[in-house]
Amino acid sequence: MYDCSSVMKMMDAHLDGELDVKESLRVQTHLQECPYCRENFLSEHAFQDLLRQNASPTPAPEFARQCLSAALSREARRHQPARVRWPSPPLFATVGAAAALLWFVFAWSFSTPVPGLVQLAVDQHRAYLDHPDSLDVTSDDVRAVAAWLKGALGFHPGLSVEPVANLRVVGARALADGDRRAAQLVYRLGKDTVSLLITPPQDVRFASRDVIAFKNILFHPADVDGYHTLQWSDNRHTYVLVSDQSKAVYEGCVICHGSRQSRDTTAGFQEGI
Amino acid sequence: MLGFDGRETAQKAEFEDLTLPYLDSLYGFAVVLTGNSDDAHDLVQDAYLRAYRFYHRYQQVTNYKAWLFTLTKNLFINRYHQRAREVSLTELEVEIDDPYESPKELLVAAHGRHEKGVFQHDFRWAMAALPEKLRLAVLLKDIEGFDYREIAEIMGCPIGTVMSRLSRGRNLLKKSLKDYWVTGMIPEPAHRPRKDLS
Repeated sequence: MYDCSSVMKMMDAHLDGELDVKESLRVQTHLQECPYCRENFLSEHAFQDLLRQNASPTPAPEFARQCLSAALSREARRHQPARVRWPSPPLFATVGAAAALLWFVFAWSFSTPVPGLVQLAVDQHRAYLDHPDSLDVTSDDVRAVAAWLKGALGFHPGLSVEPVANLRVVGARALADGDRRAAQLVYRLGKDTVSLLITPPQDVRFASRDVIAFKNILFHPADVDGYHTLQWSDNRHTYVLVSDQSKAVYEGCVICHGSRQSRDTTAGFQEGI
Repeated sequence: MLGFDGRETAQKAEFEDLTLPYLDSLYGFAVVLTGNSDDAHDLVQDAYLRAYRFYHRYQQVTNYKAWLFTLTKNLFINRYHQRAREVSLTELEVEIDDPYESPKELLVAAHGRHEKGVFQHDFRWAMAALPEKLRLAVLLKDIEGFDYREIAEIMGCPIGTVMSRLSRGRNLLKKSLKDYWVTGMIPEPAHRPRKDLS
């Protein structure tokens, strides 16, 4: 027979249904005979009921759900499941199928519409490469460029002003994207040239389902006219990075996150690509 | 790029049917582990992606919920190992030998709070003030409904430790709520703020 002290020690396990049959029967027998332990048992039971009814978990925000769904779609495309092995088809059929597939990929890639803002960023990047003297302002002082942009555009581009190894601003120009104002900044990142287009926040819709979700922001990578682009928006601006090197595009986060502290916020971004 | 073929779409849909019902639970768990919603968001997403990759190979998983929780915990330890160590080293500021106190008085006070509609808020506040390890034990048992063996696997500790943390967590919860409801005293949060990763 258990005494009150043993029963009190086993109370949680009894309430959680974790005792074996023998122990459970002994505890129940004691509870029937001891009004003090029975009252405690009923109170503990009522408390656990309260806890379960009221301490529901905070639901995941809708944004987290959307990002997860996008990331899973991306992963599903990347991950090719094991295929059923078919008997080997004749050679001409294989060659014909491969040719048809190539044509389809080729045609599809050209038929995917590119958002106007991304096309604008690519066109401006190409225009700079063709005519490096076409910038409105040239300076390697990022403070001077940022100050000029603020005057020319009326919004602050929010660039990091701390010096970053391998990154040097070349200059900028003011653009019009329809009735919106936009800025193109040109940087040298190592040996590569990178353009950053900045506009006030706007909705950019991609036909492609490629998306990288990171720190509550959706990044859209794309290949346009032989250039690599990365587009995203935060609550202040919409951005498009352009370079002919994909590595330079993904390393372009140092433009806005140059400081050591803010670089920590971008740690893990490469892993998400 | 090509779209999905039928098989991929079906497999993804099947995976989502099996695992997405646990998103809210997993998110709550990740918030407790990481201490903030941004990192919780990333941790949950990474856990799902990893689960999806494994799902292609190991479709014989029977308890998806426990599997996802264990995976999230392991990922947290691998990715945020420094912070995970800080969590595991958090001293538990609970008197183990506190005399037993029945929650009877608390239940009477709770009734009044219930009528005022502030009950759920109070519970969340008291849960948030628990030390991480105790909060995890209470969350996994009383909110998520895992049994002791599953909690021991998720938390990577013996069943005896689970029982002791659960008991201390519940007692501390009762004590915080009682001090708040009955005497009007607001107890100090039991946990210390953690340092950010650097």
